[in-house]
Amino acid sequence: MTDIPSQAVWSRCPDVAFVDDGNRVVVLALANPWTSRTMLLDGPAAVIWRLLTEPAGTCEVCERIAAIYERSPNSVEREVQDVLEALVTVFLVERQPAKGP
Amino acid sequence: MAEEQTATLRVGEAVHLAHALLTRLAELEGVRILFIKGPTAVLMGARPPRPSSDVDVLCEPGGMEKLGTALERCGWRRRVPERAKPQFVYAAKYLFDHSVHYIHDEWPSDLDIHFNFPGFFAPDDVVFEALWERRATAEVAHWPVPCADFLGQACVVGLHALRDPEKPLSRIDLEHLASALRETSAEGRLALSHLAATTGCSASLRPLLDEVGAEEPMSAWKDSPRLHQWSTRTGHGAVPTVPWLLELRETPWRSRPALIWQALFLPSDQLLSSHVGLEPSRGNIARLHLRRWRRALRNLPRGIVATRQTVGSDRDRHS
Repeated sequence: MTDIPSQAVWSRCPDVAFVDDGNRVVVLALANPWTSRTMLLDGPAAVIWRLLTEPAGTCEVCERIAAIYERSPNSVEREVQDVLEALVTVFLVERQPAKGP
Repeated sequence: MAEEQTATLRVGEAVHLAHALLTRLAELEGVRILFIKGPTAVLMGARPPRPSSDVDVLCEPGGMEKLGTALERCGWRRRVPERAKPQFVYAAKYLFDHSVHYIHDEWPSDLDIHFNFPGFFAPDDVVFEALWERRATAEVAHWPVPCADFLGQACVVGLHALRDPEKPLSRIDLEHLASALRETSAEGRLALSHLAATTGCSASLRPLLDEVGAEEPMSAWKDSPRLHQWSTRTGHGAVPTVPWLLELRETPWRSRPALIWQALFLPSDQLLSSHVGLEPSRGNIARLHLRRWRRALRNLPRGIVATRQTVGSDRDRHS
């Protein structure tokens, strides 16, 4: 598993349709509709998807996830990065490098 | 975490996501479409909110083949194969053939791709262009989709309800439309009259136009042969047994036993087409057959009278 820079900024991919009734998030990536299939997001993936209504950095996502699950940001960082990376591989989320100082 | 969702996709989710999928496919294929009825009609204020079980979209003339091919690439297929023998040979002239239904094993909702809509008597291209000119954009599944605007949806929803105005949902929709249209300005009602005239639905939409005090428009399509089909379909054709009785009446005697067998034992996929999501078990199919036979028996006397009236009015028309 590659280490992702903690300064990375994450955002939803633009070509994704989704429905969210508060309990379930079902997404359909439409960049290439010929091969895409609907996907159910649950647990942390659904929470992270909802958090990304605006682009957010890794630290911000960790802090918000930690607050929801009542854990420390450090303790959720690995899991958050795993989920974000998984969402990238299925073309739901994209990663932008943070701008330098 | 992120699982591929198949059989557990819910109907409401499928309907909304299918709007986005169709929009995307149409965009890629360069085909113009307009969503009608369903979620877009609700968003435009032309229908009360309630769940939809399928997706209705009007496709520009000449675009059906490209859009159909695109859907098939995504795993959709026609509910009735193109090469299938038409169910009605003789009764077809009394009925409207207006859309192609697509289904998908992993999606619990049908797609109804319309090439016209019953009640519009102007040519298909005239109807589409009139609705396209005043189109709106709605957001469904967080995706912008093109749709008929409020007045366009009012025509479509109104025409749909007027095909069978005694049904409870039809009454609800007509009351909702009448209320919404009364709240529009005089200019809005004038625009509705103009749209009805342009698209040739002023006769078919007459009850709604009268209800809201919209003036009767001069229409170039008042004497369309489709008006006769409409009258048949809404007046008598709304009785479930009429299409079969019309077909039986015209079928040669030696072919009637086969037709009666066909009428009694519809193929399972046709039976299930109105019951999206129902498991295709033998028990369920048997129950659907029974329900259908009971409904046919209940409507048989009315159907016989309606069939005679339909044939009689058709004979008068041609005499």
